Amino acid sequence: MVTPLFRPPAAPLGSSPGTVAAPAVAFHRCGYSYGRSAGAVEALRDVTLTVGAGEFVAVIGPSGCGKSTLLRLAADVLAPSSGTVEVLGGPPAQARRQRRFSVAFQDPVLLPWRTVLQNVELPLEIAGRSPGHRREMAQQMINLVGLTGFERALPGQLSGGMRQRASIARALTLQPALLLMDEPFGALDELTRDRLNQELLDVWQRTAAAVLFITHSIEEAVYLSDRVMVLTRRPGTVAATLPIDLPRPRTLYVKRTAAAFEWTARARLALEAASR
Amino acid sequence: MRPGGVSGSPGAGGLLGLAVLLAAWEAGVALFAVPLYLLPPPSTIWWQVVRDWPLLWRNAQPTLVEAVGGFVLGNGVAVLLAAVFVHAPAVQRAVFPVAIALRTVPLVALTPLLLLWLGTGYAPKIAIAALISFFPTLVNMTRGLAALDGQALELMHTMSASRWQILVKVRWPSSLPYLFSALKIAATSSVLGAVIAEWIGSDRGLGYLVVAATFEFRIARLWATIAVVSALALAGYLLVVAAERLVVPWRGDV
Ligand SMILES: Nc1ncnc2c1ncn2[C@@H]1O[C@H](COP(=O)(O)OP(=O)(O)O)[C@@H](O)[C@H]1O
Ligand SMILES: [Mg+2]
Repeated sequence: MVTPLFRPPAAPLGSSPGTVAAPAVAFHRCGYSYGRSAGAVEALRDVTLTVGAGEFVAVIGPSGCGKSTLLRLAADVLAPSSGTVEVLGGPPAQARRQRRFSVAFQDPVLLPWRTVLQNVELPLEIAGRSPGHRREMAQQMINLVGLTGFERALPGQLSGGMRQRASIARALTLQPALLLMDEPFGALDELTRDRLNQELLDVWQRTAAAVLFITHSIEEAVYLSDRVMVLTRRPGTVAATLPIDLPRPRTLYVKRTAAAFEWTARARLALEAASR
Repeated sequence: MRPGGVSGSPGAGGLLGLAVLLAAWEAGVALFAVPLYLLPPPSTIWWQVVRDWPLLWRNAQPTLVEAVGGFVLGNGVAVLLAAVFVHAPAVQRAVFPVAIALRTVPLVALTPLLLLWLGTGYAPKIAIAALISFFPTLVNMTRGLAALDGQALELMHTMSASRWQILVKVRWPSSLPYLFSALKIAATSSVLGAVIAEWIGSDRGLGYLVVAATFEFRIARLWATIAVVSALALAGYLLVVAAERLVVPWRGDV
């Protein structure tokens, strides 16, 4: 694969006069309510948050605070009730139609009648790519996530971790500039999650993609990201921003350094404050 | 993938049950000296089938054509209509209640009308077999096509899939288990529909043979005909089960 592309350094929050590329995601004073006036549920209020090009941003917050809602706003599944959302320099719908971002959920959402290879090919198939190109790209992504040898397996024959790998391979096949991930490892056991965290970082390092990563695990957020955003209870809004300056590449060694523990403790305090 | 055990398959267990039933029937008839015209033993019916085979086979052919024709027509229209329903809820709201109301009309009452409208050839019988297959498939298929989980739809949306792509690549395959449970019903009921349609205004077919044998008081032939009808319905059912195993290998019995 020809991927070790240039990855721009993580832009520091707020100002980065030197950055040319548009941010991957920019929420500006964004609000979202489910339903209409009477029984409306206000999920998000006044959220301003940016994910720079190539940046890895994690979002944590109490459950039900609107994290998934935030991701669906960026994915053009929902439209904001107030404020604006821009994805890769334009409206989310445009980025979606240009197939410049992809999504991975907690549930891998594989089609059970398709083999791993066919599932990974799905986005290419929908985009109308030629069968030869589809096969080749899908195979590369399958190799990248470590599923080589399982191309012909059906999802029902795989473990939870392998299914999630397939889901990530599928999200990567169109070589998106942005990955939107909603607790992708939330249903996995801790060891599998650690391994997949490591692999996700490897993949991210080899592609130029920016990542908006929702999680409820503080350790995971700190370990993976350039920045951790902490949301308050519903209606969710940004309570704190933690610029995680741990060195990269992040190895398991980095995870055990004093600095890593320090960031984890600070993130926990911020989350506790935001949950009150 | 799926272990080929006895539990899920209608094969071994079903055969054993049938064998026990036939043995009890044979013994019961002999034990209580039941007169032949009330209930002949299975052995007598079997010999009658053998003796009448040319007659039975000749009359099974039109019935088979009607049942298969009705099966294809009824299920085909039901599947197409269900696909329309899923994409046009307004059409569903308008048509579904009418379809359900039609369903309550007894088919036996409908048969003479269809004979008047469609003549005495294959058409009215195929129509009855189609109608009887139509409703369960329409109901099941409408459920199956709509039963897509929200996340899969969101995923397809984020991939910018067209409605047609969603229908073909996701809705259709995920509705197959629903379709097959309806087809299992339709496989037997389309045979019964064809036979019932032949009761009136027909001079061939197993349904005609049932009526003729009754009038002529040929009880053994009546039973032999019934046995062939049951065998046809069972064969249809088993064919659908086999097709399901081939086409829906990712899911076990629904
Ligand atoms: N479709 C919906 N209709 C009404 N309320 C919803 C819907 N989806 C989510 N909510 C509510 O909005 C709030 C935020 O939901 P969500 O974004 O899923 O939270 P999180 O992902 O942080 O757990 C929750 O209180 C939830 O109950
Ligand atoms: Mg959520």
